[in-house]
Amino acid sequence: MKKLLLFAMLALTVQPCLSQIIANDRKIDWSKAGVKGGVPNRTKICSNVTAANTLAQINSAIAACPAHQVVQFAAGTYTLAGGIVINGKSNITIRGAGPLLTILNFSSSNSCNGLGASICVRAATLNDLDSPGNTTNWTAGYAKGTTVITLQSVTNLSVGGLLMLDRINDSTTDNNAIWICRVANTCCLDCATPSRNSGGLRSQVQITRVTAINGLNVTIEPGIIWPNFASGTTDPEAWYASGAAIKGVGIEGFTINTESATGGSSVMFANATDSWMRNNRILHLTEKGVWKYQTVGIDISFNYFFDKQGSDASQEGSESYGTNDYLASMSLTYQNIFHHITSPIQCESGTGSVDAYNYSFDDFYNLSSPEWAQASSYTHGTCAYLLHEGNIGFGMIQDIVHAQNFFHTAFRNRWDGFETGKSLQTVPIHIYAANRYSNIIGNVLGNNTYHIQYESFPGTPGGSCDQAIYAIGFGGNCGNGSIANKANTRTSLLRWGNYDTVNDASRFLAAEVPTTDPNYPNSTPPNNNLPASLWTTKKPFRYGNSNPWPGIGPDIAGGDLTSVNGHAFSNPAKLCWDNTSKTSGVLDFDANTCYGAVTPPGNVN
Amino acid sequence: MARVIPVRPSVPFPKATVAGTGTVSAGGGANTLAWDAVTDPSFDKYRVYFGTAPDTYNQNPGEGIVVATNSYDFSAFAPGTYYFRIAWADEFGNESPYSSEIQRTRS
Repeated sequence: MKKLLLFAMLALTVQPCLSQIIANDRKIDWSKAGVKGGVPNRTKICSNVTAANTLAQINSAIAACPAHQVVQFAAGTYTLAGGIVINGKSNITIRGAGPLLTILNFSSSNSCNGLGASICVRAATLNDLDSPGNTTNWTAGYAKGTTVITLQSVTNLSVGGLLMLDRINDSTTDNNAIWICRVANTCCLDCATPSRNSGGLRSQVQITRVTAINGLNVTIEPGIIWPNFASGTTDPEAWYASGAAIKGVGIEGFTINTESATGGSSVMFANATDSWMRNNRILHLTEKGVWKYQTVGIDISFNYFFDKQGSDASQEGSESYGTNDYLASMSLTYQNIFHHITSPIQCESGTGSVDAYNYSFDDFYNLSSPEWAQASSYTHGTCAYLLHEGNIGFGMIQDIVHAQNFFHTAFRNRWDGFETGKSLQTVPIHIYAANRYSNIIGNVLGNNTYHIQYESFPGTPGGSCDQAIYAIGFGGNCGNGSIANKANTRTSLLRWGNYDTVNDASRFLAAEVPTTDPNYPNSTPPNNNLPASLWTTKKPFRYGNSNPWPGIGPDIAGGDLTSVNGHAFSNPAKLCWDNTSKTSGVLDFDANTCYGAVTPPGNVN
Repeated sequence: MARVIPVRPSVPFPKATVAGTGTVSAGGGANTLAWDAVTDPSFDKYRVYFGTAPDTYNQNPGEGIVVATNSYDFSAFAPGTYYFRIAWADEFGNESPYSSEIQRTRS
């Protein structure tokens, strides 16, 4: 009780002063992440299916379900030699009886646009980088925040469709700003970030919804996120599929077991918007647990992810992505548990997504060099303006394997950068060369028995870099690599109000604010107050009445997580893991047990 | 057959008649619906669903009429019998389960 009282007193001092901390061009409105309008509560059942039904019967029931209704899967174990498909069928939910009751065991998959998925949620008409469908010049409306842009043609463009906006890459000469480059061993390693080729490679992409079309003027949501779209030599273009995206699809209350499945993902959303997965267990993932492929506003909340398919000892069975943004925008990944997953939350190309209040541990990696640690929030391609908030896990890596990253914000996370048996990349905040303009605010970082150095960057002695809180700007892990080191990865970095175990103190230092950055400077915050959140104005949905919020940060005291001076409380996802039974090490997960059932308004009269 | 919606095209926010925090008996008025205030810290708004037949509502899930307080004035409705249910939502629109359905008559 004393702790709660103390926390309550501290919470009163938390001020909504976001605008004074991060400059406008280094952030976006993250409250727009996730399903536009929220996840509805559908109750009308269009069809009941059981484990006795064939896969064809199940898919027929889905295809016949009217909008805003539910295909209800009875409790039971379903053996499925193929994929469940929701093809162009917007606004329906498939719902199990609960993740411990309705078990979907897949032994194959649906082709799902040639990429393969055990559950495929897809638009009727698909497109991709190599077959974009429709392309046109983007002739006006480039500034960050713009919501009405002008295209040269809108033929086949639909309200409700997705619009992909891109530009030609920069040259191999570093512009020392937002450098979009895709040349192996010059600016990235294998440079496999998705890139359309139209007059040159185009690695910088924004995906957005089309909400209105008036002549050649197109209203989009979200508005322009990147700050460097412009007319001229980078030749901005738009591309899109004919027809609308699929939207409003829900996947709820299942165990999705893909131990024996084929395909690249356990669940895929392709050309989709405003859809969700809630209260599921996703076990033994194919390479990607949830693949968001050309999407906007996909919500992955209150789920449990465990393990990749195959044997841990197998090299092939050891690299996995829990959720994967691949040409995705404004995804929300909230209050999930990631267990024995290499890269729990992965962005390979995307903008504006939020991962918040997740719990990740045992980021298992056994691929060729098992001593390498992997990060819980991982940016692996051309990603920008992501928000990581309130997570508990290993940490954040912005690598340069596929491409560069920009403007990511980490706020009030508890990242320890430590895992038993790992000795490389064991750093809570690891930002490789050519990634720039990150904002690191209010986090609780490090392990007090492992980390011995505050930061390592090019030009400093690197002997303890793998035991540093920050590694910043190296072309390789903590040293030279095939990519040149970059000093301005560090000089463009905003750090403010982070507690670390090396200093055993919270740092509010003007010297760690990029006030003189030539392109995207940030003023020194006027005081040490931090807002509760950069995402929500209220305590998040299903966070629990008794769980302190905010629960992590330099202004938090009395937290239950050890060795960080009380600056961190467990979040609900971690409490769920801690307090729920396991069967053979696998969590007996049901969100309604962990987070409590949401109660409706009572005594209506 | 298309459903007949026997109300004005736009139903306004309820009058500020009842803003209590507990149960309000008899609806707080002949043509006012009321319910217990939700105290969940993520609460942001209520959503009202109604129709003229049981378990049949004029609004799709997630698209109920938004009201800020725990009452709803349906005096603008045409006379007749209506069936209501109420949900609440957080600031992003994530919706709670629905209340039990209640039948009321617009007098």
